[in-house]
Amino acid sequence: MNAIGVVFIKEIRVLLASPLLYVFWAATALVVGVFFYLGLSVSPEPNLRVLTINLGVVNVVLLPLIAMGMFAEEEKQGTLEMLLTVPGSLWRIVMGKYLAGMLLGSGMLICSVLCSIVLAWLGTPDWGAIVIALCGQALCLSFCLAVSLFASSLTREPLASGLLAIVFLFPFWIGGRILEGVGISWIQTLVQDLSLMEHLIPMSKGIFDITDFLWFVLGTGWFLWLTVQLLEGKRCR
Amino acid sequence: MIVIQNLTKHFGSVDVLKGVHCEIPSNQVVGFLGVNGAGKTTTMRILTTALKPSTGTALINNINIVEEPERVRQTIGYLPEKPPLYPQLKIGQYLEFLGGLRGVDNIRHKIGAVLEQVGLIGKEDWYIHRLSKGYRQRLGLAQALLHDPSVLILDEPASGLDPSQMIEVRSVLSRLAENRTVLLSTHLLTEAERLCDHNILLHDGVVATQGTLKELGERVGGVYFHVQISKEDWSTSLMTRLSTVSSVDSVQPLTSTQSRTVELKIRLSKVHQGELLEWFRANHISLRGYGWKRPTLEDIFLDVVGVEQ
Repeated sequence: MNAIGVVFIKEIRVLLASPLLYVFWAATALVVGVFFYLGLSVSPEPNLRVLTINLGVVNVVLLPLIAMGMFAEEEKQGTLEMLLTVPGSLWRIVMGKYLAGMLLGSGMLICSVLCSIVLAWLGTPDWGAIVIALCGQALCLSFCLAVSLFASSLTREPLASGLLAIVFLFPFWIGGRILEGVGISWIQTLVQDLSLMEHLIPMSKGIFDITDFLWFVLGTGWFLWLTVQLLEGKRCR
Repeated sequence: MIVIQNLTKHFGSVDVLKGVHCEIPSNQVVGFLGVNGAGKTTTMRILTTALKPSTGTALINNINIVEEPERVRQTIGYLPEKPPLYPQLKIGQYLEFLGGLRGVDNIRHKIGAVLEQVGLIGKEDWYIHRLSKGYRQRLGLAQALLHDPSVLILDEPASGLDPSQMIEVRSVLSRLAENRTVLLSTHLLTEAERLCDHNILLHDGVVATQGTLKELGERVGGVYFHVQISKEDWSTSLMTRLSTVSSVDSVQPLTSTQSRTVELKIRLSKVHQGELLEWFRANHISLRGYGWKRPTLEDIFLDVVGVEQ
């Protein structure tokens, strides 16, 4: 097995032993249930629009719960230094942890798939729109996880890193809305381009735009790269 | 061989290492000794490439730690003071993870071999959070050995262990040193005396002295005569009076003069101690113990660092 796979399996084992993962899963299931029901009651069409947008809140507020210890806890218990003195690229460690976070965080996607089955039972949903909405949820999860991993590499206190992740993610979440009243158009455009919501809303409606897709992919890549650079800095202080 | 060349390390305005320079011979157990804050851990962390030196460098088996840190990482095994363990994992899972990360071939076989070396064979399914401190230390050693490094760097491997755990770890270390260089830091001088072939004494960020125990002993004057007297018999004038005895070359307290028994190190010009013992009898100073002593690491250490009065 390659090094990414080894880190992935170790991370899954460590996360499965943490009660926070089960809190995350339970909260996710609850939020999915509530917003799926609300979505059904406000929209005459069977879709995942309301659910997809509101699952973004889970990613912003709850996902840091499972990602906050990924590097901070390693540093706190003294295992990070061991990982940093193992020969080889740090990308292997970051990617292994990222993939483990994606797998365990995708509990919300499974709930959304179950909701789609319920939609099919209730009416005739637009499956293309549902697949795009699910892609939007996965891309949002990926971006928020990358930001949370970056926050986790900044401090040795898991709780502080969790709060930092929320602080980092919050402007991305509300960015487009806070400047609605500002008259300067280029600032508005810039902030809207950087806003997570602006790229998630079209996908929640079933509209696929390559720029939205690239925004999430590049954003994820950027924060993973930053995490590697930060760890590289810690490797040779 | 490890060659350390004028290593310095500053943390902000604090100079932790002020120019450490020494050579560490191959296939020996080498002790890095010194009080807390002497610079032992910083030097070791630089050798493991966890820290970069401010200036200077070191060569481990002719590989420069500053220029080729990746190659150095393949050569060394490192056990920090607190073993880097994941309490949620089992022993076998932990070693599989590290072996996989280090790209160790035939990992199952290798895990069996290192567990046998550290005395944990058959315990692969034990959860790490249930291990005693001694077992954790052994597991820390196992992870450091997994890729069969030629240099093993151990930071305070006996720290916090009870006497029976210390004996266990000591026997493991003796076995490990048979075919590799083991560099260990400790402030337990008795441990260093039992384990180390070569000793490097760090004090205030520099190498104060180094060599085998015999060489170091000779450097501080070789065999000496020691006497133990009660605190009540001790006075500063006693030192002056003692130095007037014709056979006495020098007198030095070995222990704190505030303790119940004060131990004095006396260098005699003659090997015969009769005149000195007679002097104590004549002055009504009863001796709690006396005899000839070969300098221990503790004596050497006190000679370099000084005794707290």
